[in-house]
Amino acid sequence: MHIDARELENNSIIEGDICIVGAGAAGISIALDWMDTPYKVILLEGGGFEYDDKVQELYAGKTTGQKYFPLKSARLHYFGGTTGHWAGMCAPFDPIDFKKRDWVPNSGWPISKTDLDPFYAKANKVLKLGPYNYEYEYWNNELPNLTPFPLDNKVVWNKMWQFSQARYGNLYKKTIIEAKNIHLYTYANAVDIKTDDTISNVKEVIVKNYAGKAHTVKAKHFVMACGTIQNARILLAANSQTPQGLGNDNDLVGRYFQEHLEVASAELWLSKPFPTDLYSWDYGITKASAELAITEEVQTNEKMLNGTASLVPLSIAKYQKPRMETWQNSDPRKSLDNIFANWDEATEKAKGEKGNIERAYQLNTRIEQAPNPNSRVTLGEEKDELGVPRANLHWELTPLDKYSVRKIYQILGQQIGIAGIGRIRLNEFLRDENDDTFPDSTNGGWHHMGTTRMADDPKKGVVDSNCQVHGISNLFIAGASCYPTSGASNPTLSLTALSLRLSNYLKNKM
Amino acid sequence: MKRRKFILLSGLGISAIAISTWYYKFNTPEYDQLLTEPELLSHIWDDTTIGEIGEMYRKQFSDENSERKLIKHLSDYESTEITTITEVLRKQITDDYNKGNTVMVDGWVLSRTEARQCALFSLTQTN
Repeated sequence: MHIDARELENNSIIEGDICIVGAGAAGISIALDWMDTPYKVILLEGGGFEYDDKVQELYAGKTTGQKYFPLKSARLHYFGGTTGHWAGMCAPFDPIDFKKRDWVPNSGWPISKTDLDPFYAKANKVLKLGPYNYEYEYWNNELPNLTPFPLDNKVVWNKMWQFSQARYGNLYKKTIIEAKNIHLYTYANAVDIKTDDTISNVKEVIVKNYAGKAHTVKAKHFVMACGTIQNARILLAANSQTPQGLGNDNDLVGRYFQEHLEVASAELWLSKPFPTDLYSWDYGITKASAELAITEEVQTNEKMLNGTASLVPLSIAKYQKPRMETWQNSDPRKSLDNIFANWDEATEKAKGEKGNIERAYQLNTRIEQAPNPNSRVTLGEEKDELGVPRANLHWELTPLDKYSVRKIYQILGQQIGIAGIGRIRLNEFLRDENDDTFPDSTNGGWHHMGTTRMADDPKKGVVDSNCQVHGISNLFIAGASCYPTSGASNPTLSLTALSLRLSNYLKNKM
Repeated sequence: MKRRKFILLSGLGISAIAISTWYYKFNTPEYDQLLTEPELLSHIWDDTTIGEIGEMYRKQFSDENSERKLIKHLSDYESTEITTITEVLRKQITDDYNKGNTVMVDGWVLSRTEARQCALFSLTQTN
């Protein structure tokens, strides 16, 4: 069932068993999981079914620290969320991502990969991926020409990816609308959360829209699934009963904001052609491909973060501008156009590149960011049109991040040398071992994580291992904001799995 | 200047040049030209780049900035049953990477041996 909250009588009361705030990858995955149950599900979406710049404007905010994308264009604010234009790269987190690592401050999840495995399998289906199998050997049997580089697999392994083309807006709109027990409210922006007097139970969520209407949503359980920045923003802004904001007794909400550092880092020059499809990706065609990853044992020995290197033909990559440069328009549609225009131009120019460069690749890092309490979302002075303080983002990187990026290519340089297939050249920003800074050309992956991190101890995390906000019995968080660490994989598959695990937990509580 | 002193100084000057010429002619050992040809790198770079990288190496490791020293280093390998210089160099380069005996020159992660080959090549270009 679909209800446009602009059409409701002002100050309507909406009631259900469970209220999911946000209809993006996390929220829709949970709603689908509750279909055909005897429970009434309220699914709130701030926007409609199409892009609306006025709604998108609610995401605008200031950024400081390491150069970042405009916040307004860093997510999509309509039904389906950022799946509306995502690239679809999916891989589960690695076992090491969940472990406490003594060289990574504030690392360690209260759950392991084994706890998530059953939900990863379900998430693969929601995202319309292939089987839940990310082993190179499996895909090598399934697909032709996946010859790997002859590298020592005790040092470098082939981390496999699958590629989703799921755009939830188109894919699940009809299913959600036709589901009898799901009540989707569009143009219902959560602006406040009210609890009981002891601040241990949420009573209602207040929603507003540009039509000037406000409504009250009551439910047994509330799930915040608004994305990492908005989850933190709404909790912090819910400060009428507790000045520091909800779930923020220990000043953790908004802290530990993490991104994936995606940065052109080195070149690989092969001495002769190496025909393989293992390391290339054609959108819409490639079912699975690999990136070069460093093994857990080597990460431990070298005390480095988890990251990978992907390959892009250098003849094209040398003409591609950093995405941090081309994605600076606050309108996400225009930024996307800018990126595609630059890629088209680069592809055209590459046609003139002949000779040894045809055997050369740009190596792009994709790496977790070390959890850093100073990298954080806070509330700004300015309020949006619905009266909610805007989000400020201070993105701050650490020396461990830089060390780890550099180390990947020192290791690859050595391993490629041993294999005798080519040579590696580090980009200039990595050559001085005393330089801990990152250039402005450092991209994020538009992957927002960590602002309501998970920990058993309330002094170390906002939510517990079941994604329940510590101290508030019926308030839960879904999505990548719960990640204590950000892993080397893109977040969507894991956040879907984590959301489905939360969904399962809530079903058992009903 | 008195004639005798001039002859003496001139003689010393000639001797210095002669000794220097003799020193370099007879103290720089004969070597196989393959020592100046980094095999794998020659599939990636042209001669100009090999020379430039070699020059950078000599600046970075100035104590090796002589043909004699580079040849000595390049010839200083453990005796094996390998007979050809190409095979010896290949093994040395692989050993370098295995042992972490690498250098970074202009961002390139190079084996010490192949970097020295570039350096030696650059000297033959300038001589």
